[in-house]
Amino acid sequence: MTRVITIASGKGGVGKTTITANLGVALSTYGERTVVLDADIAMANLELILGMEGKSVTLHEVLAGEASIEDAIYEGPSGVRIVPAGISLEGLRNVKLDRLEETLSRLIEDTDILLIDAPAGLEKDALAALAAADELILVTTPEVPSISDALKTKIIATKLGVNILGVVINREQHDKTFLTVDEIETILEVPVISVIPDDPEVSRSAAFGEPIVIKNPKSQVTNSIMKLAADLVGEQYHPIEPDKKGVITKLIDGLMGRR
Amino acid sequence: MELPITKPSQVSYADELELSELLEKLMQKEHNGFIRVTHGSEEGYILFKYGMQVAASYDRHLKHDALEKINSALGKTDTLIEVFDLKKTQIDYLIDLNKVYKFDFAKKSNKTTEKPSEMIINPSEDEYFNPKTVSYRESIANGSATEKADDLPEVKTAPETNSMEDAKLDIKENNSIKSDNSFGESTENNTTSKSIESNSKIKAQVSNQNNDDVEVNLDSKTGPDLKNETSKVTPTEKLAEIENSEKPLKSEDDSSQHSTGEEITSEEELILEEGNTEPQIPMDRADLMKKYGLKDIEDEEVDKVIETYKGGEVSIEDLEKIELTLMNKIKKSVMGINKIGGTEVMVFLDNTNELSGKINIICEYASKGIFSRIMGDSKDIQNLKFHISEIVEMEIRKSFREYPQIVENFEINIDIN
Repeated sequence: MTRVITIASGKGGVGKTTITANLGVALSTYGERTVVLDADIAMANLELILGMEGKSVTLHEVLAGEASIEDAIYEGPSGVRIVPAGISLEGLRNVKLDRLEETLSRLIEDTDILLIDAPAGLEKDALAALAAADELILVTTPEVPSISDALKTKIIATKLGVNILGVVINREQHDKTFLTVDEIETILEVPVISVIPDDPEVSRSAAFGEPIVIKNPKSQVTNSIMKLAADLVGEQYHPIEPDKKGVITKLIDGLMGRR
Repeated sequence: MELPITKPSQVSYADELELSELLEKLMQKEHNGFIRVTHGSEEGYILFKYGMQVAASYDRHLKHDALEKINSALGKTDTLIEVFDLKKTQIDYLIDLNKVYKFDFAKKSNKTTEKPSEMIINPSEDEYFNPKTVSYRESIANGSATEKADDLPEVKTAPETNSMEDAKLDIKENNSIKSDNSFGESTENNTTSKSIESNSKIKAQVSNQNNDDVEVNLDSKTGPDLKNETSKVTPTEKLAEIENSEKPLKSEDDSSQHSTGEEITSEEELILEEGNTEPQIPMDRADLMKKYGLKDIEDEEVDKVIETYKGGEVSIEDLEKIELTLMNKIKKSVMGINKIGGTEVMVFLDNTNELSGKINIICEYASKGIFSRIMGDSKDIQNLKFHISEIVEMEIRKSFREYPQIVENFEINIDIN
């Protein structure tokens, strides 16, 4: 049976799409047939993070009734299948959100896990992404506005009967200015299932159009996401520790082109 | 030391930051991570595990010698101090990776038993790091047992306490252990108690779950016998326990260890519990919500939000307009049929999932002459109903030009009298 998991946050810019993309890749590495759907049809950027921009058929065309969903599925890193939403506003004009449900029902065939990257906010498109889900992962940063929006999203999702798996705290900085893990758990009344540290390497990976779990498999962010994926599918994950090589060795390796 | 340099959680110059305060803060929050001290081209590191200093390096110096060098570097204004955070899971790995820099607590414990009131550290050449001879040097270091208190690098000084009672209070307030047991065991007067406090802050900050807390409490509350009983657990053992465990020692662990000392009474256990209480943070949800100015959404608001989704793409106001428009259009079309004398049209739209509805039409058959009655008009009425139905469907399609298939969502009832 296909698990439909929506990644939502309420607030924009907390890292939903980045986490969705990387989690999708991570789940694929565990052998799960994973599809990542960018349901943020107005402000889509999953394809940018994965370096898949410029696809002719996207979710826009599918929801406009101009193409079938099969034509909008593209293979991404580690075999994850991606349904980009399309970044053109022209394509957005013809979108009929009512078709999303039918689209999803066709998408879950031959899929173990369908990850839906939900739009920010609580507009109709965001609610459609929430309502379509069996399970929900909330993403938040340890900041008050982000927690506030996550709380609203959680309440709405609960009302819609979605099973909330937990909250992922993104960009954790160990700074007293921000809320602690315990505080976030208490406020949201949802367990924290992953804490992803703040790392500029994530932005760099996105700039290269490559998921960080592929680009930098030894980073703390990668370890956190891989662990989250492992937990979702009941697998064991052993963190990859950084190289023990010294600076000189690394320098020599770099000069010799062995890196 | 080989440590992962990421984004520092705190950066400051030496003249802006009191290192003693920083260390105390790190102790209190049981910091896992390290600090980097940079002066010119020289760099020093102090690695922390649960707020306790476990290893140090400075340029080519290591262990306590490095601490001394760091201390002297901090006297210069242009020295940069950076605090880096690490995960608990990384610490053991990094300690292992940098074991040559790790403080030898066991050795120190034995030595200090001999000279209890002194902080004994030997920043001898044994601690001058030479990677090629590290193992050899370390074995020498194990053999060297005479160290002097004067050699101690005074990285941290604690507030002085005048009595053991004061010391106890201070410990309780801070909720952290401020004594290295090796020194604590041998404290017999106020002078040494001060030494305990200051030394501990330099050498070892054990979490509030640590047994040391009990010991200090017992020192002041109970007689020497009990103290001796509890002091069987040496700081070295405790440190080893911490190092061997991935997580900080829990209170259950403590209680199990204390049970070895049979003379510990329930009152003393109570003291232990009090001492172990962590600083209270407002963990009540209501308090937290208030603190951060957050509010739950009312059920009514939730329903409204969900209704906007369930309501498809048409608002309630628009729905009424659509009903009225459809009603008029259908009525006008039906009235265009010659045989219809009058008609009433009722449109009920349902906007729950996608737009659907029911259309009830009541018509008055106009020209029903006697001949028609004799011949039977059932076929005529059937045809008329079919005709009206077609007209209604046409009007719906015309009204929803972009979505003509919506006609299938409508139930049309026609009654002709």
